[in-house]
Amino acid sequence: MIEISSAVQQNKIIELLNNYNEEGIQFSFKEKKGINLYFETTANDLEQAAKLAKNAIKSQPWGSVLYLRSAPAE
Amino acid sequence: MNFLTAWLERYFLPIATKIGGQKHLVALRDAFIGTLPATMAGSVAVMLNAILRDLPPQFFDGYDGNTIPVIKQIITINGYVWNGTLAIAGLIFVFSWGYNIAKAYGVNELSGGIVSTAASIAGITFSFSGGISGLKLDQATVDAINAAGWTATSKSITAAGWGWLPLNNLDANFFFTAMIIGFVATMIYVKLMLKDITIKLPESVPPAVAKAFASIVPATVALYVIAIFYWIFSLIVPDMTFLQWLQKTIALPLLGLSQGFGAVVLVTLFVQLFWFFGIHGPNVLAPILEGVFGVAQLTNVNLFQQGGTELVLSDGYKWVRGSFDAYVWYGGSGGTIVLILAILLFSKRKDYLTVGKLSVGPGIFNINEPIMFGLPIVLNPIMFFPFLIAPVVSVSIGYFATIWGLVDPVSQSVAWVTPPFLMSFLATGADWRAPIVTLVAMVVSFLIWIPFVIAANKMNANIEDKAA
Repeated sequence: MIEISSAVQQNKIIELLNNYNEEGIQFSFKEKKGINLYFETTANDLEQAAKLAKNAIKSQPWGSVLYLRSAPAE
Repeated sequence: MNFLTAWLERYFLPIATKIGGQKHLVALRDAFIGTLPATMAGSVAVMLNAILRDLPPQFFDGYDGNTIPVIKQIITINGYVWNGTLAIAGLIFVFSWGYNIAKAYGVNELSGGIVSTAASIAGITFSFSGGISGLKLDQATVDAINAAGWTATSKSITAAGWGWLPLNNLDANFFFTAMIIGFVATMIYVKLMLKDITIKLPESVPPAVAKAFASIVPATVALYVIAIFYWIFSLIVPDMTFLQWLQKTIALPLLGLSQGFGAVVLVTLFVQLFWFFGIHGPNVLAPILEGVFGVAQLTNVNLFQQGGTELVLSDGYKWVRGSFDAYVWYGGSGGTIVLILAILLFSKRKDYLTVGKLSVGPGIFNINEPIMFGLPIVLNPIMFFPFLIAPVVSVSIGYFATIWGLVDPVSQSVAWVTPPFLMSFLATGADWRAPIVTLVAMVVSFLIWIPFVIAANKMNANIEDKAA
């Protein structure tokens, strides 16, 4: 499970990561708690998965200005 | 809160996204970031020379680093590093600028950098002249000077030469010319490349050669357009180069505006607002933070190298990019290191204490994501007021301490992860008063944060004894 913290564009983040499928790694949205979004992932390396998710968001036209955190969920 | 985020996403975020995603502004930001290897290396050289050459005479009578073996050689080596970096920071930037514009449009980046550099350099004076008057020279001396190629009379000498690029045209003074001329030239090049007005070679030609040839027509047209502009400009304003004119009419007034208290507070407020709403403030405001305050900082660093703190005080800028880091953004944007301290001392909330303890380590190095998102501060109504006001108070303390001469202006580039007190000490060229100013700003911010941390205690039913 990874945790994405973002105050805005949460629906777009969920849509983006739910449709993410690169190098066999996928994400599926589980729940939302405040500004935190939790995703299950098929990746074994959660640190790497968190980085991939952040890069995917930041590469979007709407994502480049977002201030967000992406980390393995505890 | 959902209403607020929906409102932000509908009205506020599109504007921020447009600014933050605008390809030319992104290219400008990346162009500044791209110069970092050179500017930081140059800053290290200036700082080492400050420690080895400029500071010791303040404490030891008769100290002269240039006469001490090993120290003397290190100072010389640092001088070489400065020559190739900060002394020509504008030249390095102009290449980076053209490169990043071309990259944004997906055309040959190397040629973009070359076009931008060539077009901007084309308008710089290659000659110098200077003179001394009020002399009493005998005829033999006058003849000797005239024979050497200069002009002398019995009362004056005029020296002139051609084939020199003045350094003060290539350092921070070059940035605004580079931003305008480099942009126009590269855009002409880019547009012609995109319209495919290029020389096409057979497929058997190696790609590197084909790419260079493809750039010839767009680059030539771009450089000729700029050259014709310089020529027309020289007819209209015969006694100034475009760079000199731009410095006088736009750059210096703009940099002057940045030195006003209102401008400094406004930038601070906007950065805080962006952060609070989950938007990367310094990224969105990079054109101002780097394009104006960053240029002012480079000017100060170069002045320090040439004449130490005295020259920075007389000719430099009071508030520059690094001033924000030194006096406002200690522990990260918002000065959150004092919030962590306030939490550890006054919070009774288990969640706050957990986040506070986890945030200490990163906070010392000005990384504040753990507390920004862990507490959270982002979109947390109770944190809105202190998160906006504490930095404004801090910036006021740092600003007026600098303006009133209580502390030297920031004259060194220091990596943003440098811990707070060390940051201001190094950034001001080792002024011992700077950490004290930072401490005063921190104490006042701490006092602002305390009531809100205590108020947050009452918002959670799950209050636990801190000692437990």
